[in-house]
Amino acid sequence: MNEESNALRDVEEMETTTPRRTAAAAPSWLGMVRRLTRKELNEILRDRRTVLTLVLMPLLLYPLLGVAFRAFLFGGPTPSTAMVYRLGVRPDVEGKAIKFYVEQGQLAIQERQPSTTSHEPALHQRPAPELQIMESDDLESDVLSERIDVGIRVHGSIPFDPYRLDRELKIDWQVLYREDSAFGAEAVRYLEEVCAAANARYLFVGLRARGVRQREMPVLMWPIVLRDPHARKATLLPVLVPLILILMTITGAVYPAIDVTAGERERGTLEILVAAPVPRLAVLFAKYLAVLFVAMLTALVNLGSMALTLYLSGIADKLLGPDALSPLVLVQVLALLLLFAGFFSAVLLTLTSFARSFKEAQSYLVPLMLLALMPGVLSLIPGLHLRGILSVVPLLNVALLTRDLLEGNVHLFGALVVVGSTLVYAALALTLAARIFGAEAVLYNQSGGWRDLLRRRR
Amino acid sequence: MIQVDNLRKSFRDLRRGLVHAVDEVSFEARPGEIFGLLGPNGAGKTTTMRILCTVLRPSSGSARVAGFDVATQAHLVRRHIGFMSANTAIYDRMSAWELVEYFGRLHGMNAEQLRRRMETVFENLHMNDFRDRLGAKMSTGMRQKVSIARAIIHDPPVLIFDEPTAGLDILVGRAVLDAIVELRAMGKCILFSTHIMREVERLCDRVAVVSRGRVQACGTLAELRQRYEQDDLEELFFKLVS
Repeated sequence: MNEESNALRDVEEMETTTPRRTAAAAPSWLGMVRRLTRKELNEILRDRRTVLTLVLMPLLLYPLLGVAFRAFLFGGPTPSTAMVYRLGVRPDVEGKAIKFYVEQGQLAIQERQPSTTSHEPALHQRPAPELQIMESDDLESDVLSERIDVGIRVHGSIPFDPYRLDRELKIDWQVLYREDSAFGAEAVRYLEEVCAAANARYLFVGLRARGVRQREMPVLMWPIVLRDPHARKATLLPVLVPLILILMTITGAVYPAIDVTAGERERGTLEILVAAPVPRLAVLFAKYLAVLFVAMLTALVNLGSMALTLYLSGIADKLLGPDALSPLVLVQVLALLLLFAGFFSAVLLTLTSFARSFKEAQSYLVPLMLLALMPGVLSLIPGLHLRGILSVVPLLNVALLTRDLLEGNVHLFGALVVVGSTLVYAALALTLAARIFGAEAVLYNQSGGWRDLLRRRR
Repeated sequence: MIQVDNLRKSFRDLRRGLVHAVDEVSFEARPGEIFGLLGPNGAGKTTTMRILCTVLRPSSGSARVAGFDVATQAHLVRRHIGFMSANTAIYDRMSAWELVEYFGRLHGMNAEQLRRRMETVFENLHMNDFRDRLGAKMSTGMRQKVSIARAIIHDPPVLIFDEPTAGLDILVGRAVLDAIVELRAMGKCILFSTHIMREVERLCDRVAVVSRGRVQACGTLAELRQRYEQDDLEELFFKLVS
């Protein structure tokens, strides 16, 4: 009672001594959060670095990645171009014989069904390689100078004559290629295949001459690939897409998270904010919403740019199937990214609230980024399914769920567990951030104990 | 208007153990008065002011600002004070007008009230020339004016200035001091910390000399000179803190 009357007396005194006082009503909590969030967003979006990360990087990154991905998958700018290996042989009878034998092998491969060649992976749309046979006086120096990719010479002195079927044929080829030439190694693998086909044909002709009826390849393999009619093509892309999107969302959120917490503290503006009549929880929540908004914006721009690149480059059609990037799938992926951004923004704010300077916050975030990469890399492991404990492992569960979504292979229960557990983690991280944010020990750089870090004014 | 009784703030330091940054400090500041906290660096002036601004929580003792307890009615205290220090900055990516408006709205002022008040404040502080300039592009003097405008926009009865002229050139420093004198004329209760004797002599109605977290002496300058038989304020200060 006494306290109240003192307060009233002081307020009365205040009113009489300050005649120009303006009446002010306390704004609602939500109104305050809205105002604080708008201010944070204005500040973040006026920063050129953030805008560059947000818009320009995805617009440049994905087309470049698209080109690189095509080159990696299809081995060249156009999938219809055949690989041409330069094969060197000696300019004499030996060279002619090798050339003949190789041509027989190539002919045998061509006559077989294309599905029997092991050289062509399923994704390869490229025609069979070609061999450009060149004469060389010095195979070794021509290989080393990369005039030719591979050279073949006969080892030993037995004359090579493939026309003679009446005696045992016993020839050793020496195949020369550069140690550091992947192209040369690839050419050798192809030549092994060609040689095997020529050998089979030689045996076939010999047997036929001796009256044995046997087809050239006694056993032929006919691979038949079965696919779940509901699942899309199983490739690396559904794993890489979530990984890249998650990384880009993280990249977009990191700078704003540091800027609005540790950065503001370092610049000296946080003190005036916590001395204003605003609950610190509202300040933190507004900062969280601002970081989340930027993270989502980053995710949206990245997803849009990536989808457009995949669609226009034709990679999506070839690797994921024609309906893999339907608007519904994109919306689902975006929802998952929202979930992820919600979780990760809270984690970021927890760490950056703890940091006393921009630099300190950056040093905390490096291990976090590495930690965040791990689940993404783990999701690359084939055979890893969204089951059991993996459904509740942060980040990994979201990466696996996004992969399943792109493969059209989502189970409702697993998805619900992922969503539920991620929301719980986000809430926990935000609660911790709320305890740390504005703690005296952090606000004024005191070297106290750990308990001091959780002491915060309301 | 400001009543401080046996205020103490202790920190646990890993090297030094328990440190009393503010130790049993008591004083009172009244409306229409500039009360100076005079002391060397590390005396506890800033910590005391931060407690009065409710940024820090006192370890013991009590303090009331505008009739409200800083420990239990922090949100009410914040609505009735304006705080500015040499360390507080302004937002680089907000203009002067946006920043002052933002804090006015945080204090719950409605749009029309706020606009009228801002026109007056910007006029009085001669800020109209740079009202749309971003913080990053302002000079130190401009920034300090924006900080003052931000502190007084809601017309608080109590103003707390923690070394507001530190690091300023003589012209800007003088403008800041003039603004503080004008605020006293308007009946504000002003708590002003400094370690510059000339500022104390020019501004303060009463002072508390603080050293090692304790109030060593408190009163008007005339009272202190008489009590310690020392006319030179610098000598008096040296005698009290050493």
